[in-house]
Amino acid sequence: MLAMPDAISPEAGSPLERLFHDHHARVYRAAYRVTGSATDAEDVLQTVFLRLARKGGAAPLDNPASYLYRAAVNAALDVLRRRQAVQPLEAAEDAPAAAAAPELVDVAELRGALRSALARLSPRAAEMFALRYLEGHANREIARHMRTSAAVVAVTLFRARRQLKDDLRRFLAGRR
Amino acid sequence: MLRKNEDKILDTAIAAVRDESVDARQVEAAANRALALMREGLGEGDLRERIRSCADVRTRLAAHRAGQLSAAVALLIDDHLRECASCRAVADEREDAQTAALRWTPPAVGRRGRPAWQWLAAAAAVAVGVAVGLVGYQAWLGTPAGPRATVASATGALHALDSQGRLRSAHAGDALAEGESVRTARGGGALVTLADGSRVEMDERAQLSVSGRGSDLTLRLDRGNIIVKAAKRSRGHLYVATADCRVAVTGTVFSVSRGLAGSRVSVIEGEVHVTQAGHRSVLGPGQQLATTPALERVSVRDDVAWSRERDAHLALLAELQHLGERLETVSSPALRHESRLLSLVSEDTVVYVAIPNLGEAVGEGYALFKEHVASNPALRAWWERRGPGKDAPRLDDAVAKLRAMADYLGDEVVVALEPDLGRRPGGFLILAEIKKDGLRDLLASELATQGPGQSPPIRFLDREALAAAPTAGQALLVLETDGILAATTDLADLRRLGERLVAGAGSFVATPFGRRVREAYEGGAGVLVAADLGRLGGPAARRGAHAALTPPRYLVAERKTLDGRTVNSAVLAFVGPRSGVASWLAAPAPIGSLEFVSAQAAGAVAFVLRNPAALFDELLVSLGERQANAAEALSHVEAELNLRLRDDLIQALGGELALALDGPVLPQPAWKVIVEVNDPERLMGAVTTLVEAAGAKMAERGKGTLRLTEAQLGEGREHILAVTGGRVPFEVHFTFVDGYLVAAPTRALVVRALQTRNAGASLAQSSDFAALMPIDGSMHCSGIVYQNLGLALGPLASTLGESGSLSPEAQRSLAAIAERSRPSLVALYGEEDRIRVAATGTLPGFDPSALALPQILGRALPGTRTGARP
Repeated sequence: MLAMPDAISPEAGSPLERLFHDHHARVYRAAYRVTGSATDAEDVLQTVFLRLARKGGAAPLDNPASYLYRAAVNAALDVLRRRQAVQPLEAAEDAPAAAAAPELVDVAELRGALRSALARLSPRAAEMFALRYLEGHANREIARHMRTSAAVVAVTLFRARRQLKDDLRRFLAGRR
Repeated sequence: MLRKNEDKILDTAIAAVRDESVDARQVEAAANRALALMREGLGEGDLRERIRSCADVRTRLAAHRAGQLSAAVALLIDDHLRECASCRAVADEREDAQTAALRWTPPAVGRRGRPAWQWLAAAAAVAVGVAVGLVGYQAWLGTPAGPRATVASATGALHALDSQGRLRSAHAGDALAEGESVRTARGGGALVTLADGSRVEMDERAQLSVSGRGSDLTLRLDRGNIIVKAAKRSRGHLYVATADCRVAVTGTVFSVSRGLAGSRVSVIEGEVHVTQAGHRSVLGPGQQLATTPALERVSVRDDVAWSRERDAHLALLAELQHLGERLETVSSPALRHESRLLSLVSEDTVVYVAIPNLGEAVGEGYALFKEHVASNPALRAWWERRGPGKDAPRLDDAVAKLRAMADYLGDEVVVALEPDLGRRPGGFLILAEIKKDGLRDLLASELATQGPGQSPPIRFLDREALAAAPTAGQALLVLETDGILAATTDLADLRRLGERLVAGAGSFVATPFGRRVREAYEGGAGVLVAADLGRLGGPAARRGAHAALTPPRYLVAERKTLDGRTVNSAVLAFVGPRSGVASWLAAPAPIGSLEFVSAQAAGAVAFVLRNPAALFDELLVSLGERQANAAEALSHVEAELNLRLRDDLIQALGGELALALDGPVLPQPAWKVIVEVNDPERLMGAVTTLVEAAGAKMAERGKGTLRLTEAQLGEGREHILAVTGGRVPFEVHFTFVDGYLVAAPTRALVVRALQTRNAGASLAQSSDFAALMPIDGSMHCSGIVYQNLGLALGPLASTLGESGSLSPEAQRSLAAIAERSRPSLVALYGEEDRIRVAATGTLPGFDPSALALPQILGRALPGTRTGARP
């Protein structure tokens, strides 16, 4: 094992490390919300900052926070989709039966089902959905970052919700 | 009720995910590990010193594949490959080369751990059963079981085409089933072992298939050259069939060539029986039979029928195209990164042209050409009877002279023009460096053989004569001094050059234009054309007084060969930010509309424009400046239409626009248009208003009716705009999806566009397209113009052939052209103060086949012009 690095401090070295200091917790948490796994969230954290290092280290944009958010969400969705490809939904479902009512479903299972469903959305829709509902960004803000209009975001989100609802319904029906 | 419940489930799930708590210590532990990895991988945060450009990535590809890079660096490389199409193309190429090399290793025999005897017993039982049961049938008429042939080895790409026309890539060790074709790529080759043990060597671009009946095997050669080493056999025959002959053999070595001109069978060893047009001949070693008499008589029959000529013309065209491909292999001169001549041109220079010394390349290319002509009957006939072949001895002489002269000169020739060219003597300067002495004597002796009056008078000068020479005269003045050869018609120009030579350098490189040219050299120069448009003084420059239409200031166009690919590029540079029409092109961005265009599209044009509403405003202002009543005219039109153009129509549009020909050309061209739309409802409102207005007008004039209807399309709506009763009935089907309007002439095409996008099988995602992207590190561009006409031509040729509009010869030639035509791409980049244009692949304009096509199709398709236009 390597020697532990110095505690992360804002004074430490390069602009990249300052950026890391300021934003690593948000990046990690955003990745955790999407992947639901500490290991995956850590992978995402590394990916995002190494990627940034390659781009020159300094904040690439006027707004590094939103860049990092998007990067984290996308990298996490990539992880989710890869996981989906390895482990099909059906294989994971051998839990005991439960009623379809939401309040009676195990919360952990519900999280898992939503994440699987998220991985089946188109990458763009998944990103919009995660930014809107998991990270709490406004439609207008998402539209600006993703270079589209708020109307497109709204329509995409509406369809994404519909697809997720279908997926969840199927998941619950399958468990009955 | 049910829906409400579903919403509730979803919201519960979202909340469960969103509110899941994460232990802060867990976060910090992960952060510490990530930071350690970063510092290790980056060498204290300076990885950016090491991997900053595409070149940095490419130098590491080999190590990356071998798994020698640290985790951090490997991650960065993977990441870059995902983002950068051109690096991905390089990586894929190397991968191909590497795996191809790996395929040469012989396949492992048997598998460990399997009870081999079980398989053996089962196989033996089956074999005995089959043999006993079917032997009689098999011997005469049956289709034997098992593969017909096996690919023993291959160089370059190899493709197999099954009887349903599905193409797959084939490799050494692959078996070929009954009727399955195998095809070698350009520059490739393959060795195929037939079921009877015969070995077939395939040259580049050959295609063949093998079928079996009873104990006979038939090899069908569709095109290309093969050499067959036929195995000795006791029963049955090996037949080699081409479209116009059949060869029966046992135990011989012979070659068969099948080309557009016909077939040729040459026997190397043994004896073969050739059947051609019902006539049978026996060939021995060293004997040859060609099925080409028709072709050799073609030139005699020139006057008989123009369709005949068209066929011959097409055949020739296909050959010339092949020749063009061969000529591409001639090594081009190395790129030049600096130039002594650049500092010697006048500072008044407005056009600067630098051409590499092509003497050697021309010589090499000419030799290749002659060789090709000698070996190809179609080309030879053309060359000898109609082309410059009549003057061949003189051409030989000219090429030899050019080559001799090129030996004396440095690696480039520069032509510099001044703005007053044509208004006084001189105004131009031709410059070259001199590599060895004796050029003057060569030129003088050359002029002497020409005789007086044949060419403009030439006066040779040196440094002393330059000062003393009289100024009058029309002669071309050639100055040879200080290792420089210069030519112009004005003595004063030459004297000024003399001054610059004494000073060591002129001030051209210090001018803004000179700096641009030097920059071009720094990036490596092939053929270079640079112009100071602002000082050329044409009408464009005068119009430039108008603010909104400021023309570009500089043009730098280049053609150079990089990594074996020829790249044509141009930069239009502006003084300050781009303005006017030139500013419409947005900065490079992902072009999402291309996702609706399939990888099989024959052509596509796509652009990203700045905000259309802003463009409209600018246009109005500039129109208003020139025409006082522009605004009034607009509001008049708007009142008549009951529509505000800007607010109701243009504001609803996004910045992307794509147009593609994506599917068959007949019976109706399969075009599609994709427009980014921010506000579909507003746009539909405007369209409805416009359709009503236009419909009323058409009805008024009795030109048919225009109707807008709707239908269900998946989850969305399909809109159909139809003109009926008019002279040219047509329909447009369109729908809105994810912020884009997708329009095409039929519903099926709209559906296919949506499927293309959903399946991720679009042009933008295809690796062939990525390989065409200019290698310059840019991920996105502002616009593209793409053609792959070959894809549309093949089917078109067969459709026309079936309908009888095209003779079989012409059809075959057209198919050959389709096969040889290559896709090309022009990419545009809108940058702050310039527009860059880069072209790769075969440019349509330079491609002889593309030039000739409209003519051919125009003849074959009477009525296309009115009938099939959307």
